[in-house]
Amino acid sequence: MDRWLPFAYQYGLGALIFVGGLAVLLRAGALRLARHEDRRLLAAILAGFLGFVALHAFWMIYVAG
Amino acid sequence: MGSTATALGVGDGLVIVAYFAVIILVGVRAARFTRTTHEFFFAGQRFSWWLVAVSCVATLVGAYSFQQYSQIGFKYGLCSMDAYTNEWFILPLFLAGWLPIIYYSRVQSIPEYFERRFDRRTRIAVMVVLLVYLEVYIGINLLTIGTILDAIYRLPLVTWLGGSMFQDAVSTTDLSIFVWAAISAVACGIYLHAGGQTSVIMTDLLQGLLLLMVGLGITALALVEVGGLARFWEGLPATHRLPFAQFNHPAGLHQVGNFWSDAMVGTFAFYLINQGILMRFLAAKSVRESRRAMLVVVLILMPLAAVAVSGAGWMGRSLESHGTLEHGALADDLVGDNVFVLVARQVSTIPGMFGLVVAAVIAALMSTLDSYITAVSAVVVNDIWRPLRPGRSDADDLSAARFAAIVSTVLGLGMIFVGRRFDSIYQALSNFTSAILPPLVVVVFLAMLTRRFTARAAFWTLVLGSAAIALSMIEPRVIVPFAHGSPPFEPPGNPPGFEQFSYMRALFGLVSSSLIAVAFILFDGSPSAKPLSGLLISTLDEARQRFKGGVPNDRAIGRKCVLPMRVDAALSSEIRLPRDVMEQLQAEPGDLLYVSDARWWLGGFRSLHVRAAAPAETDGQLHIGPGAIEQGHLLADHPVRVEKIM
Repeated sequence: MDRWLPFAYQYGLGALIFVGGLAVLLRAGALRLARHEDRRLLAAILAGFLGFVALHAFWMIYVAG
Repeated sequence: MGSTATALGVGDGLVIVAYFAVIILVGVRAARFTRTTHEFFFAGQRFSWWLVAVSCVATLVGAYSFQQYSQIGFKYGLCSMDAYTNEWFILPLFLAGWLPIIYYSRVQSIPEYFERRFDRRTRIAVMVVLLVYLEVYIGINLLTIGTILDAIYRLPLVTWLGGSMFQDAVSTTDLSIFVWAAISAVACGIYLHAGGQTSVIMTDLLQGLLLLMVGLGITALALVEVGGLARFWEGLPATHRLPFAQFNHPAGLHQVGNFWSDAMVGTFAFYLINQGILMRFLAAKSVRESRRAMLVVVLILMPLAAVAVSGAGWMGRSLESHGTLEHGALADDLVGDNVFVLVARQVSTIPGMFGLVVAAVIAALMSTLDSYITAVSAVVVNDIWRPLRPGRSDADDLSAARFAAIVSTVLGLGMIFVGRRFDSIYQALSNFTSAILPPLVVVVFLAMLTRRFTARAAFWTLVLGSAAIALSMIEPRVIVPFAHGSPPFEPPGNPPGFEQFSYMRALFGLVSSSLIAVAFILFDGSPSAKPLSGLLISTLDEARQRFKGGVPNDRAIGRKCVLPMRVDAALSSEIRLPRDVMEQLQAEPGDLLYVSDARWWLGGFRSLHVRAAAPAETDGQLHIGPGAIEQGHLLADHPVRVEKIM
């Protein structure tokens, strides 16, 4: 479990900040899902975030089990 | 590095000279596209995402990166990549908040935003901080490159001068470091003075490719030297194989510290407050293109750069485990500090190859240096020169920008002697910037978020937040509640307290500054009555409208079209397109379009922004005025590509 703590901390707290940032932007109207360009941006940001989580998770599983 | 001094061969010397020649040539050639301050600082905001992205990586990788991250890789393992792969958390706020605010409001410097959003007092405070921050980095980069190059090769002229002319006044080492730094600064200054941001981007493109190629090349060759992937993995201790450092120890590197100091404060400060980096993204042809550049930087190029700068350290550790790292008479405890040079030398078996490695290290320096000098120049002209001397022509401002770039370089060179004599001054300046960054991060965040964060709140958050951090340097025990159980760190030779909990000071600074800011928001009066249109994330639509000069057309972007040009003297800032092309672009009259030479690899060198006139039924050609052709450096006999920006 000790080996997984850095991963959990980074992506637990990181996800809060990440999602909090998105929520603020959506609420303020800086990101509008009705706009084609904004939808693409949101998809890219989410895919990138999940990509990093997946990459680090697989890496951790491979090394730490 | 000094203890691994390496004799350069003739081939190495030729490679280094050729590198300098190519960079200067490319930089000076690019300068013919610079005629205004807008082009000097922002390259005319015309470039494609790939030019911005690759050049940005060159700026982000500093002269010290190869040595520092190889050292971390050797001592702690693959977690050395973490600093280059933990930027994603703040990305939404940068891409959808801060970047469009700055781009659409046409702000030219970070301090200018603070005056528009708050008041002149806050602008001046931020300007002073920013100039110190940038100038310190210029000095540190010059000192680093001088030290590295002196360790590799000492010019005979320097030895003679040190022995005869200066004698006791300046040591030969100081003189040698200064001369190497001056050579690098002059090379950089030649193209920067001529072309500003345009030259910086073009040279940084080459330098970014070079440093990635060399770093990845050394890693690949060292992997072969180790005996392949399986044997490399076998040679790594178990803790070195993890992607993260241990949670809260040892004091020298731990993940919780890295998260707060690097991922949160460092990344936020680098992308949102660092004028040099921001200017690079503002050089893109549109917000959409800047976003694409940033996504590629964070998702692809930074992880590649992490391998390039750390790889020698990982390979060195594995070679050392197998007993095949050649470190001659170098003591075992110094191997980690010198691992980059050791590994690079071991795999550099072809004449001239080590010269290429040296060129890559110089490239890492010059690409950071030129960006920061341009940034200082932009701040000086925009925040000091223009307010003091209003109404001057753009040509005067351009001269001032070039002069400011020279002064900034000379100041940076002067700081070498200061840094060599008084290490604590550098330490104090570094601590000064680390003290101001967390409050600045909080202020920028709240500035774009809420109207209730007033000028008074911003100014006092900066002052009191910095004071709280200064207090933590005198009395580090205040950080203990935020330290997550990490031990204090106190390297020998530094004043007590300065470096203790240096990682966790970032969290302490963020929390204390946030509390101060929230207290002002809650208890200090009403929301700002100042017009803040376009300066908050909730007012971005107004910013877009003002940028376009009309209601934005948010239909899908449409397809880019390639077509020949026809000169039409009746047109000035507008172009006329055939109706079917307008439909393909999904554009309407008055929309903002981007016209560029159809050759993609020019990256936007020959291009400009124009407005669409009412469509023509006609001849399948783009009608454009002679002034626009000249302004965009377009070639009348070459086809152009048109796309809708907004």
